[in-house]
Amino acid sequence: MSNPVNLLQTANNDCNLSQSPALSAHTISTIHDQECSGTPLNTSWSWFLDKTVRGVSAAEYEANLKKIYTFSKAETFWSVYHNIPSVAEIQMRYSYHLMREERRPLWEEPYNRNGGTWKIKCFKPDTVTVWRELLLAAIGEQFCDYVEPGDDICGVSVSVRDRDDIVQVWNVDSTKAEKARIVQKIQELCPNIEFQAVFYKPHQTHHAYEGAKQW
Amino acid sequence: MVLFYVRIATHHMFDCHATAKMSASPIARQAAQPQGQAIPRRILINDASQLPHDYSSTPNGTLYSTTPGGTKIIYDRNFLLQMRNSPVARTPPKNLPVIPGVTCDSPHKEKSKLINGQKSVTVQHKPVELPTVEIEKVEDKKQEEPQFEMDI
Repeated sequence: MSNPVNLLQTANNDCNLSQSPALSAHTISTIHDQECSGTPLNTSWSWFLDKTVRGVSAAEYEANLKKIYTFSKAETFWSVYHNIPSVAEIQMRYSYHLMREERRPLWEEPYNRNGGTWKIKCFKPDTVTVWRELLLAAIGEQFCDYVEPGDDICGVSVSVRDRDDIVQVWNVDSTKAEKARIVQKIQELCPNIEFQAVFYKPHQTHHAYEGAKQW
Repeated sequence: MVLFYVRIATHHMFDCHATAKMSASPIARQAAQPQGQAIPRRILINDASQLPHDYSSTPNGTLYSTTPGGTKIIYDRNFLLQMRNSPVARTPPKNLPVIPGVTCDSPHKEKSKLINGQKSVTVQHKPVELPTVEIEKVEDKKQEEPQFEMDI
């Protein structure tokens, strides 16, 4: 285990400990698995945490977004999953996002701009199960037969809300959403769970969407 | 356009599908339908060493760049589920950043910041901001946090 030592050295060199927990940009960029062994996933995936605050700009949202980890092996997925709070334990208005590669869950990013999400309300007792099924389907590429050619699922999210929680599945091309069978797939993944509202929303139709990113 | 991908089932069977899709031009359509060329549909993997070393290739030498739409490695749910309790799957990943309340020395102690207050959690105050905490965590590798069993 040489990495912990490296981390300590990097942290000592690059930041004043009295101002921790800031980690250097270099250290942040190494927050991913570098294991050669393990079961390779089709692509890497990044796990994010954010808190939803109404009326914030995209820049403010971005500043609150925290990347937890990027992994590319199935084993590392579980090691992240087991070592962060379950979705049943995170506070109201927080969300987890699992995004393909290092995509960030921002509508305005060039790679997200033309996409959208399927939004599904689910009853709180079901959230842990639904979220886990979505995670496994995403990293296992189980959605690939359920989208149109040229489209792709690039993320899944769960948001803890006051009453019912919300899960989302992100795609990259909103023009191809109508023919996709993602909702059918989600129902197949969770055969015994009853979902409430289900709908698709292109990112650009959100009231808070800020258009092409300028900064 | 040819959609070509690789499927990995629980028994490590690669299952390759080639689907010819309608293309814009007759020439492209012709090119997308190779005649008299058998496409391997299933490739048996006996050992992990037979898996490709990088993501640009798939077993049998398919190159990403030559397969429009790309290649995909597909795992089914049970295959992924069965590895969830291996020691490495329980150990915190290397360099997990310290995010108070999310990734801390002990989820038991610090997670309460993110909890709604509906559950009773023992809060033991301990500074989590210093990088040394991260070091301790990696070294002592606590396994089997009981609260994570609830979702299994």
